[in-house]
Amino acid sequence: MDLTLQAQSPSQSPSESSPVCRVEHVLKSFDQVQVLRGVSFSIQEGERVALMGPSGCGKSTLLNCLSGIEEVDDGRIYVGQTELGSASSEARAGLRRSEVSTVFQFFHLLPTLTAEENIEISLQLQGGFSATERKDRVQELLEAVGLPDRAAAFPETLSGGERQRIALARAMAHRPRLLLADEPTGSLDSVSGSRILDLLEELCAKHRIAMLLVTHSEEATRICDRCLRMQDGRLVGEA
Amino acid sequence: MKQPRASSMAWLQFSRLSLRHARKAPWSTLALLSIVALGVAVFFSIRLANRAAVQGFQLFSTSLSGEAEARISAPGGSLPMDQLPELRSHFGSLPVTLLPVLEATASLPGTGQDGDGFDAEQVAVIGLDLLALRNLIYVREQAQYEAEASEEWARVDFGSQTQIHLTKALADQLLVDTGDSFPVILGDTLHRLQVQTVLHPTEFQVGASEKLILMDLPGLQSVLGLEDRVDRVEVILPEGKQRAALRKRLSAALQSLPTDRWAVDSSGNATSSAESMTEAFRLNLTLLSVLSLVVGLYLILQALEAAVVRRRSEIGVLLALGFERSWIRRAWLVESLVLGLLGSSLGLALGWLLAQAAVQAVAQTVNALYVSTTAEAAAWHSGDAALAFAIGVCAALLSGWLPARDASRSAPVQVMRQETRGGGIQLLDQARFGWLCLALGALFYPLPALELGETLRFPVFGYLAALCWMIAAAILCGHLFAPMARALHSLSDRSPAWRLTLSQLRAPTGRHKLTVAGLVVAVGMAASMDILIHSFEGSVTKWIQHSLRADLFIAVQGIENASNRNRISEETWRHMAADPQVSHLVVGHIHEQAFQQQSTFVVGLRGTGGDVMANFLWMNEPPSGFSLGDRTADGAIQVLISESFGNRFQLQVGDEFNLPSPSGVLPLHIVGRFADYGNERGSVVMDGEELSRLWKDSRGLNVAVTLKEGADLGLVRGRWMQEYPGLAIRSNRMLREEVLRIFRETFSVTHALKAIGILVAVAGLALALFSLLIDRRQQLQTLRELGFTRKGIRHAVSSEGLLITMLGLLGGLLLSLGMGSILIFVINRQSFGWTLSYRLPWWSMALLAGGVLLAGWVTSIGVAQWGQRLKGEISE
Amino acid sequence: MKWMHILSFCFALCACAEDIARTKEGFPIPTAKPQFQFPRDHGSHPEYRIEWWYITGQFRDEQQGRYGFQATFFRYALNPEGRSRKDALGQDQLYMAHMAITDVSSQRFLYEERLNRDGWDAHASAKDLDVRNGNWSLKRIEKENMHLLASVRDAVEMDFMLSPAKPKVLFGDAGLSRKGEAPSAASWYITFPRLQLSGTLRLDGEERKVRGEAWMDHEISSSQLDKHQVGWDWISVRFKDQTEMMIYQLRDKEGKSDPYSTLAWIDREGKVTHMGPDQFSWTGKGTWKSEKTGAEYPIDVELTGSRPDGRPFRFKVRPLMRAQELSGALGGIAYWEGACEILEENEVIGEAYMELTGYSESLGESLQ
Repeated sequence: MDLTLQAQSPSQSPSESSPVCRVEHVLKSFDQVQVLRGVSFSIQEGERVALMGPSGCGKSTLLNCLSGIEEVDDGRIYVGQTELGSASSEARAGLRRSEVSTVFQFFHLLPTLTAEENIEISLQLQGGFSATERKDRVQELLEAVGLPDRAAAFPETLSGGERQRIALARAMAHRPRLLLADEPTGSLDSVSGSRILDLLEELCAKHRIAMLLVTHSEEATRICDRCLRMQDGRLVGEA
Repeated sequence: MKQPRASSMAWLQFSRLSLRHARKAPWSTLALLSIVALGVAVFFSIRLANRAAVQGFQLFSTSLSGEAEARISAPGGSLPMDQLPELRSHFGSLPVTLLPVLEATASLPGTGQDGDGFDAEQVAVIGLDLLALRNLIYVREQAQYEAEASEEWARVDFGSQTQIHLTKALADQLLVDTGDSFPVILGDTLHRLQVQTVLHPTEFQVGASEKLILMDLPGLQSVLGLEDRVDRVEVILPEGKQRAALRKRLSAALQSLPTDRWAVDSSGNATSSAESMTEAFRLNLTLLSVLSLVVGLYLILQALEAAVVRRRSEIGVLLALGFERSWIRRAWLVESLVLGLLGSSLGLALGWLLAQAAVQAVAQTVNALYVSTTAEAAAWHSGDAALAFAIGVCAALLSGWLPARDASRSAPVQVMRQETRGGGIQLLDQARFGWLCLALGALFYPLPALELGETLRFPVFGYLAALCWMIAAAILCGHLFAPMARALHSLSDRSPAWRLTLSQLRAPTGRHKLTVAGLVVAVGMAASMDILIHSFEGSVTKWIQHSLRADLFIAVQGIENASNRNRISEETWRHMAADPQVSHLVVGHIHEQAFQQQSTFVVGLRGTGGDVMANFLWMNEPPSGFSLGDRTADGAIQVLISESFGNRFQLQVGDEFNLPSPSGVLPLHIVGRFADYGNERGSVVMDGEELSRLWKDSRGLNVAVTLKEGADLGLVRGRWMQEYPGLAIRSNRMLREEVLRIFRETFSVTHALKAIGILVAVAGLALALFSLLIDRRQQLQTLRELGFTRKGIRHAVSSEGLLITMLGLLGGLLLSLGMGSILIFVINRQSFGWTLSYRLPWWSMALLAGGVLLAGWVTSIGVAQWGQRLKGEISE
Repeated sequence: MKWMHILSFCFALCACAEDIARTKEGFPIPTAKPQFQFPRDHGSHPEYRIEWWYITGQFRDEQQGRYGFQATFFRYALNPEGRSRKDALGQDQLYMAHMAITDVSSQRFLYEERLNRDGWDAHASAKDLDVRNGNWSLKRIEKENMHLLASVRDAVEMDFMLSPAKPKVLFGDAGLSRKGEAPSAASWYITFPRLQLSGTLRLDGEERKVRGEAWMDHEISSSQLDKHQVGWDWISVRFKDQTEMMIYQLRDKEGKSDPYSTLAWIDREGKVTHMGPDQFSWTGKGTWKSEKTGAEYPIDVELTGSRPDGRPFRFKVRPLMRAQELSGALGGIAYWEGACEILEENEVIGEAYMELTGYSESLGESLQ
């Protein structure tokens, strides 16, 4: 399977020296509660990093900051060359369409769209594809996640594992440089979860996609190069 | 373990949760309250306004004399006084007071100086025997009667043609006091009346706002040239313990009065005849107000439903905590009850205010259609208030029921994160029911009106057909979402926003269907009213073009309907006919006439040349060679009838019937039928000279003058205006314009209702979109994560709203075609008896469509603006 | 209606030719030695200013319930040309009427007044006795029998036949009764002193057969009182011995009896004997004050004098009820008119009706 056959992605030839994402002294609080208290780390191209920590330690907030959904109070986040704090809301949305993708614990498929359409809308958002190109590419992605025959199914008719695979396909559709995965196996049984992890590992490796994997499960760390630990809004250690 | 009581748990939920929600979101709570309030207010205000307009008819003499037991008039219009002794002897020793009453209208000059007297203010002039009136002090209870013999009344100048008494309200308006004089137009001439007394507001129980002139009967009779004629006799019994027994004997005596000479209205209510006259109109108005309440109910339902959606997670938590579903249902019902109570109270206040404004519109309609009413302000009416309040509360409870059920069926919090798609009412999913309603409507369409009592025919099947088609359209339109989405599918490839929008409509939720149903009904109602009005206007215009051909039209100043008692004297119209510039003229004589216990009109036309018959718009043309005044071989008078007369009394060309008249019962033979949109009570037309003779009155209501070739219309008009200041002299063009203006006034109420309907439907759209977005907040979050910009989200939401609006508009316009035909061919014909040609008001419908689309679009954009910031649930 | 004017002009000429005296307003003054023609003169005399038909009487129902009643029809001409016209609401004549009933057993007094102009609902025939005012009417039916229909408010309806038990009498000089020094202060005075009354009374919705006796005056004048006179007292008495007595006493401003006051005796055969004020005296002994009008009426009366045969008399007039005042809300004149009985040496010897006027204001000017 070669996902690079078709389009030229802007992230095609990254410089080895610059990380895909760099987080510098990020502070974030909600309603006077400090959620992130000076977090700093960086992720290199193709690197898979696990982020672990107890509930409420700020993992998901960190992901939201990385995807540009939340703005940080202080500190900087670079995705590629872009510093999110100085980017407009539109520019950040543009980043999400091209550089960054997210998969969620609860899949977040759009219920009114079929599996195929859920993937296609992502491509459509990125732009630059003709309708036929999109169709072909969706087909490839469906095959890549092993669900070529569920193209026309609506999310509600899919199993949890299937849904996550479609979500994964959607996340991979525009071939991002950074994949943010928020407990992608959290609501799956261990078999499905394991298969999703394998798929994640395979796809990221193949396309040199960097991944930040938020997880509670030690098992998930097996596909990661290193593991960051977080507590009370701070990184407390690295394994 | 003790089981907690359901009611206490419901209360707990209400006080701890519902009230706090209300406090936290004061604006949405207020919005919800105002929706209930608006529904109640519209219903209440229309009833009040209606009541006020009808009470404007309340006749002064009745308020003077307390409650008249009965009113006696002649079936043939006015009553000659030489018949009164016979009436007196009929009652023998029975202690009844008989009070003859003559009514007239006076126009207050000052407006309409250009001869266009339509705007001149009219006041009622009541002619009563002012001397005999004082005898009534003995009719009242002992305690009162000494005090009321006012000193001033002892100085009444009996029989005076200039001395009058007027109410405080009128004196204040004219800025006159005792001894002052002021000009009015009575009959066709200008008179100066001198104020002899200003009636104290409480004197003789005259309402404080009534504007009336009181004149001694013989004086008014001679001013009007109606010597020894009155309109009716009020029959009054003395108050006291024996009144009930006397009333029995009186009613026996009344029943034995020969009906060919006397018409008795013993309802004891002076407004009853006005009421029965406007019954059909008011019934329609009430129905419209109920309809608006139903639309309000729809809004409440939507609003509560939206609240359920907003608080679904809370409900889920409660369920997870072990709340029983019935407790939750009860708490929601309590909430809607409180909402109903508060909203209805607010609605009563609002309705009362609205009524003050609406009363003018209703009074205008009543004035144009029936008789003049002096209504100015709508008074509070506890009965109506209670009714509106009860309806408001019941509506809130009823519309709270479905959401309450919905709420109690919510999933516990464990599965809450599943996307929920729902809302709306299940009925709307039943396409088969929609088809059934469509068929039922078609079945009801051709059925005749229901006879409700002797005087009222009610097009119940017409309304049922309209209702059925409305329901059908509301249901079936919901099923058009999927086809529409399919038809627009190509747009999906255009942008992700379109893809998203169309995917929402491809599988519409109940809420989509409810919203489009509301739009369909509102647009359908509004557009069908437009169709009715336009068709009406078209037919009237055609009729005017046909009927109004003369150069000058002359009438007495004031409201142009038969209840205007002023007439043009024979001397005046003969003088006009003799004018050297005049080619010929046609005098119209008109008398209100009771026929088969209903009020109708006899019209006499007297031409001094030209073809009188050319002015009719025929439905059945009389045989050629016929002229008014012809009789059949056996002596029956040959007459023409208007369409509404034929429909009301089930008579057609060729029929013979007997009409009572002051000169006895007349055998009449119908030779022709014509269209007349001037009145819905119908008219019989005969030769004017014959009518004058039979009705003993040669005065005309109006005169149509054709000038000689080359005569200067402006000059003649100017000269006559100088000569006859009491007459409104209009040119052909002016009259046409005025007729159309009155016509439009007639429908002024409907425009307000139309606006309310659209407003409610658009508010429904807004509510629906809000609920949809709250329902989809997680999706919105996802969209953002996928990289949707705010603009993209706004675009998706607003185009969804716009598409819903378009579908509603389309369905509504389709519905209006059907409803329009019901209004024109069934309801209108059955209640007014008029044939109208079906015309589509392209401009007005386009304007409506544009307005609705714009309103829908603006609303959608507004909601989308709000929705793009809606946050998904933050998990950690 | 031109012929009407011509006709009245003719009448006026005739009047001049006969040199009939007139009041300064132009109303004719009743002449001496009137030549009455009955039944025409039982009817109305519209050219004269004032006329009344005045019935008072007492009756009992089958349960011996005792009642007094008054039924009065007045006519006033508003101008001297006044003729009884056919207008539905004429401007020349006014008709006033008073009805009153005294229910002795329940001490209830009810009355009603009515004022109408000549026309459809009030009229008096100039040919015969036929007067009506609303649902009230008095009509001669045959011979000199009369039919009275009357009512008082919602409570009372009366349907009485009145037939003379004695022939009518003419008071004064063959019917001309002088009321003062002024030549105009005179009336024609025709009376039925004893009428048998029978008929039905509907009281409070209950119909009762009643029997009794009544007195009826018919007076025609153009000016009843002199200016200085403030009122009069009047009484009619029907003694048990089938004789009758009538007194009118005219009072001046000082309260003194006017020389034209008169007492008239009627014997069993109907012969009238007149006596002047020097031959009798009318003395008020006790008064009743009206709360409504404030007038104080001397209703307990002692009458003294001598009979036609010279025997003296001392009668006590005892009202059957004290509050029998008509407040005159419409006519503007309050007066006391009530059923009484006549006692001599504490023995009831007859029934009477007494009228006391001018106690609230002077009548001299209003009736001028």
